[in-house]
Amino acid sequence: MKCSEIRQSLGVYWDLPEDDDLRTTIDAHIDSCASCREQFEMWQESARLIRYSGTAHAPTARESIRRRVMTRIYADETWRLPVPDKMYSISYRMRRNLTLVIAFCMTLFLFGLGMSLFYESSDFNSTADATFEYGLKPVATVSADSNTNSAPTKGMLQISMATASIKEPYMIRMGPIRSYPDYMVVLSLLGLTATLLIMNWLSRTRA
Amino acid sequence: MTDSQLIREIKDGNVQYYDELMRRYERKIFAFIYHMLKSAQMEALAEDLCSETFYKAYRSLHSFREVEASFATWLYTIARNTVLSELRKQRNAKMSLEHSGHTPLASVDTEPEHTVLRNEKVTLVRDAINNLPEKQRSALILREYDQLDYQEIANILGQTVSSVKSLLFRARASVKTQLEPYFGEPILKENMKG
Repeated sequence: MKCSEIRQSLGVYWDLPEDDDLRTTIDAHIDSCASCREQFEMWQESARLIRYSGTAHAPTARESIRRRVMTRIYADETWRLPVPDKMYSISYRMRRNLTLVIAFCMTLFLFGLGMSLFYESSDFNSTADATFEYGLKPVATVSADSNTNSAPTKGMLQISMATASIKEPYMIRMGPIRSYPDYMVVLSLLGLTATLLIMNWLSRTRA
Repeated sequence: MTDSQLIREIKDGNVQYYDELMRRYERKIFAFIYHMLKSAQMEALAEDLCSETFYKAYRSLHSFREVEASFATWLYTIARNTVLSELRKQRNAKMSLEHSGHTPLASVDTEPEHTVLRNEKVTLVRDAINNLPEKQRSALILREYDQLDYQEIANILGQTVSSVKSLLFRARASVKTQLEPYFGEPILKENMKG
């Protein structure tokens, strides 16, 4: 190959595989041609400098780039925010209060459940012969008595008054809730459900 | 998990996997953007453009087809377009300032601490690269700094492989020509040892 052809090929020399024919030809030529060798060395220096400039001041990406992008994505699509992150959008004070309410409800539930079981095994069994009737007792009877409110007085009008009295009060027994422990269990479950619903609502609206 | 699996998960709505996908490429993309910017003191801007690139990529992830290009190639294309758009914006801003008769504010380059830190040898080569036409510069950076092959560079630049070879040849020749006056200088001789 002529010197001009070799010099034209020096620009692609660096990308050629080790066993490429053109590369072998160039290597052989620059061994014997001082002028082309000088040109080759310039190309070589230039290529090394380019690579050096890329590694000498290689920047390092910061953690904040990823965080920034994810924050931006979640700001656009709030419903995609993971649940633990959603909770952090609620203030610490609110989270603490809600946690206390949940803890209270859980305690109440456990206490109520324990009491209910205890009540059922002791007190309830002792009155096992008692027949529980649910619903309203038979209608109360009302009787009217005629009384004189005072002793007859001479010359005064005798007034007869009718007074009503309830002989048997209304007795209501409702459903399976029969005792205070049962009420505690029901109330704790209602409280727990309400708190969780509030937390869910807050996490969706404040995220 | 492979890139494809991660992308599938993200498309299915599991956005948290995008963080892992970014972790795999952020270093490369950030370095590419940093080298594409014409000043070495633009790390903050490079960070902004890098996050912009990843955000744009997420927004158009639904349109990404793996059969057409790899995710890395696709990401590089977005990064390049983002940088070019920013450079165009800067050029327009500079022109409008010049037209309005205002003197531009002191650039970040003039800050003393950066001047002290500036590596003259690197600056010399970077200046030579920055003087290249945009396509030659992109091709050279992708080839020399990011070690991409011809086909990948061709996909990113939207050129054929032979065009990329030609671009690289012209870019290297131009850099060599610009550096030739300094080859005998101590600054580059010292550099060669490093």
